[in-house]
Amino acid sequence: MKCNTVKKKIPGYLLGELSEIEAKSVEKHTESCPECSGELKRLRETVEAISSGGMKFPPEYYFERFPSRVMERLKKGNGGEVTEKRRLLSPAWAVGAAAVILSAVFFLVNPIKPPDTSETGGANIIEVYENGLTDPIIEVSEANEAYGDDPYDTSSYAADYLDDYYIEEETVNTYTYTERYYITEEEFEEILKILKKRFLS
Amino acid sequence: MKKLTAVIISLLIVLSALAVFAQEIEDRKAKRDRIATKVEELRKEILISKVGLTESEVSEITAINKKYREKRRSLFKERFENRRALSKALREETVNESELKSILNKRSSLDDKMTSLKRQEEKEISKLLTTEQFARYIVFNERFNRQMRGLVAGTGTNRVKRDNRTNVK
Repeated sequence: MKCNTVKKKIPGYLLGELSEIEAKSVEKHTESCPECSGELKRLRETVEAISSGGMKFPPEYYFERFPSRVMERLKKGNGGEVTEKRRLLSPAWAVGAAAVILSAVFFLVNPIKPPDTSETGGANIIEVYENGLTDPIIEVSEANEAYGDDPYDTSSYAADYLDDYYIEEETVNTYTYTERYYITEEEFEEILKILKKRFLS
Repeated sequence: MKKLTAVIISLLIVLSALAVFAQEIEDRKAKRDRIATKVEELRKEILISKVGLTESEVSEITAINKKYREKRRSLFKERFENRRALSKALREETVNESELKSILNKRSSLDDKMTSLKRQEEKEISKLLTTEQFARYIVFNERFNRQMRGLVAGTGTNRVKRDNRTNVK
């Protein structure tokens, strides 16, 4: 008989629950095996302590009400707090908290609504800001501008987009026009080159 | 031990993500600053060589522009939100007339404020210049801004597509 098998049978041996053959096999093995012999000795001492009255098992009704008492203790006081603290320190919570913080930071950096506009410097009615990680948006507003003949004037900016709902410009926007265009820095550089050519050459 | 490792790994993830986001914000700011500087330089060059202003006059005008741009920004945002609110109110199943009136009144008030701000800005600038210089400045400003808008919107069809909005004319 192997040590593992013997160790499993030791409690039954001590409580007299093994067959005669099994009991003899256990005795034979423990005589020659110091490890199993030590295990037998320790368990025997425990059983003797219980049976001599050194340790008393609680009555059966104690175990019947055990789960409900545990729950009461947890609800009432320290037990509950300790469990809660342990939960908060668990790896799952740590990873969860990290995910929440990451999401919060992501939405701070990439808000759904356009962020505060930033200035372009010279053109006083143009506000530039960025959306997403690559494309800056140029937002163009026009405040009560008097239109004149301009050979370079384009009409493409005249259309006005209000989300996916369009209201005729004249009705809604008598004074202020707002359009939003996605434009890259390189495209903006091209625009500046064209403006330079038009105004300075 | 496992808990400690998980906490350390989580912290490292958060810290490295924060570093990446911080860098991203810096990059955007740098990009905006580069654009702003270039526009500023071009305007200055044109105002001096074509409109006939001196460098100190341009500096003073730029400072006034900047001051009013900051004041205008909050109005601009409010106006933008007002537009969205109006659009949203019209999309409701039942149009609420009092809500529409309130939004339209607000819009009217914002427009008045923007116009008033524009007048104040021009008045301040006019005090620095002769009548002719001021007239030239106004013409330049309108042309410059209009042309920039036109160029930005020049390939608008593609940009509208990217913006997922419908081009209705």
